[in-house]
Amino acid sequence: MIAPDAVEGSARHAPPASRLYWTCQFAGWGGFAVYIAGGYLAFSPHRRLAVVTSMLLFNTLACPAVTHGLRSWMYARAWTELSVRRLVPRAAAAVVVLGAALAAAVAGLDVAVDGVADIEGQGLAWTFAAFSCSLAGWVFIYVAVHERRRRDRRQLELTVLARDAQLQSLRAQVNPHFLFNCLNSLRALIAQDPERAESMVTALAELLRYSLASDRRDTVAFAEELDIVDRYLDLEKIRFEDRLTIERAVDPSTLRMPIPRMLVQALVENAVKHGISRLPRGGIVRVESHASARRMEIVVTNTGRMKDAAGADGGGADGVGLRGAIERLRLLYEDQASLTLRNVDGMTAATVSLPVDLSR
Amino acid sequence: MNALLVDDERLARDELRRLLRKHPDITIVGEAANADEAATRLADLDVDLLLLDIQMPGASGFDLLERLERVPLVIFTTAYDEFAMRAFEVNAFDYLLKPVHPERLAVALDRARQSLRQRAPNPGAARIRTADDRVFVRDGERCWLIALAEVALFEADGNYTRIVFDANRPLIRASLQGIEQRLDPSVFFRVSRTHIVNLRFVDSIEPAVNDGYVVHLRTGHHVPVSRRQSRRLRDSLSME
Repeated sequence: MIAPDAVEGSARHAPPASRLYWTCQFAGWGGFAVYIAGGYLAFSPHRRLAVVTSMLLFNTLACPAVTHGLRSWMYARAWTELSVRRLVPRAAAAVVVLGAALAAAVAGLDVAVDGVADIEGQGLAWTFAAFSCSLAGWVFIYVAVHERRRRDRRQLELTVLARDAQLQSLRAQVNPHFLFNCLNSLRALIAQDPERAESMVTALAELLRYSLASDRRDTVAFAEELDIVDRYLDLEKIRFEDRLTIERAVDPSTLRMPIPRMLVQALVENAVKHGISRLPRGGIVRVESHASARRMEIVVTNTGRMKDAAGADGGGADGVGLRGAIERLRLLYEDQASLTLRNVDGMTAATVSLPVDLSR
Repeated sequence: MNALLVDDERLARDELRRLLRKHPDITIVGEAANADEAATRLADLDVDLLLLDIQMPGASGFDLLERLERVPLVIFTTAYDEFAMRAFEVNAFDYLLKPVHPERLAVALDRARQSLRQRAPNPGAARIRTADDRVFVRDGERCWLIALAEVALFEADGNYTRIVFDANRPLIRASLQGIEQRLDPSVFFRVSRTHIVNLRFVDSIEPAVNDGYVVHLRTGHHVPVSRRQSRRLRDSLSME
């Protein structure tokens, strides 16, 4: 039993009590008071109104006060951190002591109200037992609810942590094969064409910074992502030379729309990796975007048929490096976004459809 | 030493060329941007050493080697390829990571020079592989560059053939018939429908319990052989 915000065994203050807590306190003890008063009326030979009134008032007010004190004590002594085996004797002792005190108070109150000791002997024992059982019930309910809530909170935290970790691992990173090939080309360019080598270093730095960004926002403006895609394609152009042709047809209204970071980059990288780099004579990579009512669509097309996408209508994006992108879309948009892969006229088209919520 | 550079990126080939300038005994006889071009150059040119990129458009460097009758010395170059590195753990291919470290290149070239000195010069006969020839074998994720002299046994297994050498048993998609035709008959002997043995591994030939004989190999393998073939086998062994 480890509370997320406390070291085990350490003392601390009770958290502020909620309205629900007080409602339960007064309702519970009010019910108890009515039950006790009923018992008195049923079994006592005297049936005095003053006694009934004082009993009702005492039980409805003193019991919540006493148990609230017990609650503070429990937190102060860090009982909520104890194992069941260590908690039970402590709780039992508290229940006995407080039960006895309440029974004595009731007996004293009885005398004070009408000058006659109604409650003595068996009656006193009965009162003590009633208080002790109720207090034990109170402790049980309090600890059970407390524990249940803590477990739920922990579960929620774990869910959030798992989702974050999943997003983190799914966030596309610069492919190491590309990176080292780049560095190799760069080494050649330093001697051959220092000026191009310089601009290559700058582009590579920008791409790396973007992909490693400590600013881990989940989404970026489409325009920002496109800048990085351009840097990336500049670099691939140095490697592939005339084997790589880049085309672009972007709807200007989509430029400000938010998209998951590195999503288009992953699609374009995939198009180069599974399309262009496999074709001895190279081909085209085309980036398009369209906007419609509350949705945007991004299409990345490349020369070359993707074997895995053959015949598959929508499901083909698996297994060709896009599973990560699909998972991210699911985590970020649930079932509101889609990524499909199709073969069209000897080209492969990856289409992402996103809901547009400019407030995101 | 004649070298052929194979890489789909011009800049990568330029870089290798520049690095090799420091090694005047290496003559670059050609370049190729993919496996097909490389196969053509290899057929036309006298190549001792292949500097070979693994990931290329069309066919990979591995595919190229599988196609070759006779594999020259190979130094792989790769940018980052977990698959290749796993494959290389198995046996000693030389590979260089790009960008290439000049000292690593020097070490690899030294090793290549040494291997070349140890290799018998190839007589013309193009189709027959001598025992000194090396073949590239790939089975699943593992790769081997095997000197034929190290192969003890070829064993037919359906449409596949199992190659037995050292402790390895890669299975390749080739018929025993096809393999036999390209092996040097003075070294490799077809003892039965299902086995070809390396004569240099034969320990003894003994009569089998039932009809026929059994060839015992130094590796501990026992291969059944018919009476007729066993006579031919003993003849060819006594000739040696």
